[in-house]
Amino acid sequence: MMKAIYTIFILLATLASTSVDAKTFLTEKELLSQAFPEAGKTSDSKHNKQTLWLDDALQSKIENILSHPYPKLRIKYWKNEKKTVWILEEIGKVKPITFGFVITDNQVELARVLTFRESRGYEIANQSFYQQFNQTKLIQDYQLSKQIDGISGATMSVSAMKKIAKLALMLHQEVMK
Amino acid sequence: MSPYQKKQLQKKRNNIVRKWHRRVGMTAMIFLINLAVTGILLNHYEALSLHKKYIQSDWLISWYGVQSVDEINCINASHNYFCQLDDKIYFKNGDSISSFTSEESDQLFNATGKDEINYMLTTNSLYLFNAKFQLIDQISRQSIDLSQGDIEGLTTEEFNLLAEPNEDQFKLLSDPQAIDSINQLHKRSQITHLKFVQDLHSGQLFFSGGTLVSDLMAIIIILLGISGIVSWQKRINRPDECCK
Repeated sequence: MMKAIYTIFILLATLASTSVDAKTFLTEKELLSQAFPEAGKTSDSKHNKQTLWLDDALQSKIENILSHPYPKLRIKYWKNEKKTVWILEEIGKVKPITFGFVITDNQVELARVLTFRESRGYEIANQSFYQQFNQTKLIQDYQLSKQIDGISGATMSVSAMKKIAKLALMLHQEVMK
Repeated sequence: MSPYQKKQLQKKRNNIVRKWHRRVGMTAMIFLINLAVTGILLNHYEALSLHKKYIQSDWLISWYGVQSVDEINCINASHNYFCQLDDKIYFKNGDSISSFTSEESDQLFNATGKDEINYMLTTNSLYLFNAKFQLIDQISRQSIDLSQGDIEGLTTEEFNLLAEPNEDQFKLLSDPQAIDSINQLHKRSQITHLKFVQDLHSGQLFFSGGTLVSDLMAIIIILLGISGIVSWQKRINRPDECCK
């Protein structure tokens, strides 16, 4: 019995350490064409690509959400009237997951996983999970207005996506001031 | 053999079984404590951030067989050195050395400096760093559109020069102190606390011998369980000994 449990543990540990290639679910262009269907074929000038430099004050707010500063000094985003599109990264367990968020009127319009690099937790790249983020707002203390149900076996990926949803909503508020 | 002699012989046998049960049990206890402690740590590794902390002990690092390298190939760009060891890229600026973890299978290709921005081109991305080697941005090479003209402050010609294959840009780092510093930084970012605890739990810390010992101990624990039950059953079946 112990040996069987032991063998299962070693197998799981081996599986966990196996490197898996990054899986791209959606490209930047595809996300932009979904966010701005009226713009037709993607071009940065049509979507008004902008740069947000992360100063100390902004990094401090980010740290409240992510529990660490954002690893880059600037973030590129796309803006069109009341809508912004953010492509942000956060580490799930050991590798960064690239998320795409479309924010309209301080609410999440579209939430997607663009690239997933972890060996486990890819279940977050699922339509039913994405839908939980729709119309979510930021309330006090950088909390989401809706309860996001977790996925067994993808706890850290779910946590990363929730953090990035909060970050995208906060950054949207910053650039819309 | 008289009934008395039979009883004495049985008692002697039982004593031997109990004695060995105790001895083996004491030995297995060390293994069980290790299993229990490392098991608790593994259950809570996220809260304890074991996957983010690295082993710093030189003795343990060498136990894992992490070796120093004698020669490091680097790119010298605007008096800064860009060196790659595995998935880590090290920047040497004067005496200061910092590191950056690139994406898996991403290889350092070329580097240059312009207007206080350090540009590092890898097989997958263009990275922009400030003078302190803080990451400004990462742009996927696939998304770079040369027809747009300016590429993050580089002209098309400058970018093409950067992207041109040229093996000569890699030179051996000649500063022994820098090689030593890079080696130290590199070795201390290889083994996470999580890996160490996993290996201690599975016995793999002691390589294949450790795994075999763990297997053996697991079998012994099964036998201990069986012998314990047998011994207990015998005692409760005896009317003269009460073990309730």
